[in-house]
Amino acid sequence: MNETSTNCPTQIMKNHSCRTFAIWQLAIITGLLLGASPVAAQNEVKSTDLSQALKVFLDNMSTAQSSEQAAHAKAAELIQAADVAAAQFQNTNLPPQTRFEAHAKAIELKTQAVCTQLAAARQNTKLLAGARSALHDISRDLGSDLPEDLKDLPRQEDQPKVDAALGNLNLPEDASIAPESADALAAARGFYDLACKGAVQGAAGSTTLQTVARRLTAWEAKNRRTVVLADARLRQLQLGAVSGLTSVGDYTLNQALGEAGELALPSVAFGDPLLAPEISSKGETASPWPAKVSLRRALAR
Amino acid sequence: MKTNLILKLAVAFFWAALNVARSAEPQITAKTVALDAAAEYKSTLDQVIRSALEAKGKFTVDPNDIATLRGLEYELLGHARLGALKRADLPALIFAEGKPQVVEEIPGRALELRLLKVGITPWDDGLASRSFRRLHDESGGTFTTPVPTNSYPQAGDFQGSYAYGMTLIGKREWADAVKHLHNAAMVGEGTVGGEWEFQVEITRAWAQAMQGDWAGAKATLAAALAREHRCEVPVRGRFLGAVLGIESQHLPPEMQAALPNQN
Repeated sequence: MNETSTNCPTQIMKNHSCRTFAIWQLAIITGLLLGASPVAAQNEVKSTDLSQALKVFLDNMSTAQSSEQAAHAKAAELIQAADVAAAQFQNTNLPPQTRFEAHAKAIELKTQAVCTQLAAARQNTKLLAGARSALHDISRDLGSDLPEDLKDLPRQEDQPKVDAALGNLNLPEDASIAPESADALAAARGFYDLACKGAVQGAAGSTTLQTVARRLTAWEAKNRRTVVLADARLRQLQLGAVSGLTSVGDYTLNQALGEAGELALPSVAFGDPLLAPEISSKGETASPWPAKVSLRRALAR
Repeated sequence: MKTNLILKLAVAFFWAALNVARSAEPQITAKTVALDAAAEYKSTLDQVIRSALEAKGKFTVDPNDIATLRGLEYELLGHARLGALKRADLPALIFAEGKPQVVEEIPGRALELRLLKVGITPWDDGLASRSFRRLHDESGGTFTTPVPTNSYPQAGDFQGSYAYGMTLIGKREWADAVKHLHNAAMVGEGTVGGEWEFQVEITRAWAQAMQGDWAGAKATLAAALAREHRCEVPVRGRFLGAVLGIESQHLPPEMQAALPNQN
């Protein structure tokens, strides 16, 4: 007991100092970690995770394309069926009731076809806007949104001229450089070309991004036109329904009156469905144009 | 308890020392690497300028220096494209931006670009649209600074020489510009205050520097500074004087940074 009682304060002291030392150790380790983290963060090469934006972009584009193609296929089927009904409607040998019904069927089918495409176009407006936003994120993350003050950098296409001018300087005829200098110059030029491929001047991004962005813009414009066109077609169909019924009524009346009447068919032909540009998994889009098109050719009608 | 306190103090000291040592480590980032390249570019170009200033006789440039400078320009432009270097940190590029026609123009053009980058035009003499009075002029007339013209001046027409000389400056025809600016500064017995001659001579010194005549530029500027001038020495004059080692007047920090350093 005695021994215990005499050892107790020492033991407590020891325990206390061990605990204190342990706390200090912990503090040191924490401090080191905290002190190290800013340094590590500054040395770290910042790389942006593009997978999310890229996934959103590809998903939206794929969904929009599928949606548009499905709508087109369904619309084509409906138009085909509508054409059959329209043929019945035009058949004057059929009784008026059947023709009325055929006309109504044709109108209904065409309306469905237009509505199908209209719904797809409306949905695609959202999807394409999402794709646009994702593309913007990708473009920004890749560093293609260069600061405004870098826009006046010497242009890439001017650099070969600068090199040529250097060759024309009044240097001695036998002026030559060391192979190391030549290698260093070639390496620097290679680095510059690589940098230019990754981030071209201006905010539009790399060549690939520019191409994708251009085609996305074209698709968005086409989608807008589809919406407006489909809306107009729906109104046309409503008018066509009235007009068609009137014409059948007129014909029937004329038949009853013994006069030859003209069949005034409404012009409700559904034009070629608008197709989305094909988007491959690489983000490349198929275009009816060759890689480069002259502006004059594009403007020519 | 005392031991504990000492232990605590020792550990605290060790911890602080370790953190200080760690924070003093050089941080290698894209920006620092790009700034290193910019510093190397300036250093290499400074060496070329110094060689020109110290050349006895005809100045020549080592073709390897040209290759090195051009390589560094490509590197810097690449860094800028990748966003590692801001426009403000990008040095004036002698070949990509300066486009010198002959080797002798390289040092002068480099200095001109550096001045332009900090917003100073070596050719802005501050004389435009101002009137000056000739000394002991019997007619008592004054004259106004003429605008640059393509008309070749008649002998003794100092105003015409100025107008034509400044046109040649615009065309970067240095040798002829030097000749006509020399005539432009010949105003009989001079002008009141001497500012006209003073500014014209500074412009002439710059033109001489541009064509690679550094000895001539030094003589012209030294003579201009020595003559009476009731005006402040312009920044362009102070900068050229500092480059030529004949003037030690105050220069703003950004101008001092543009001076070629001793390597």
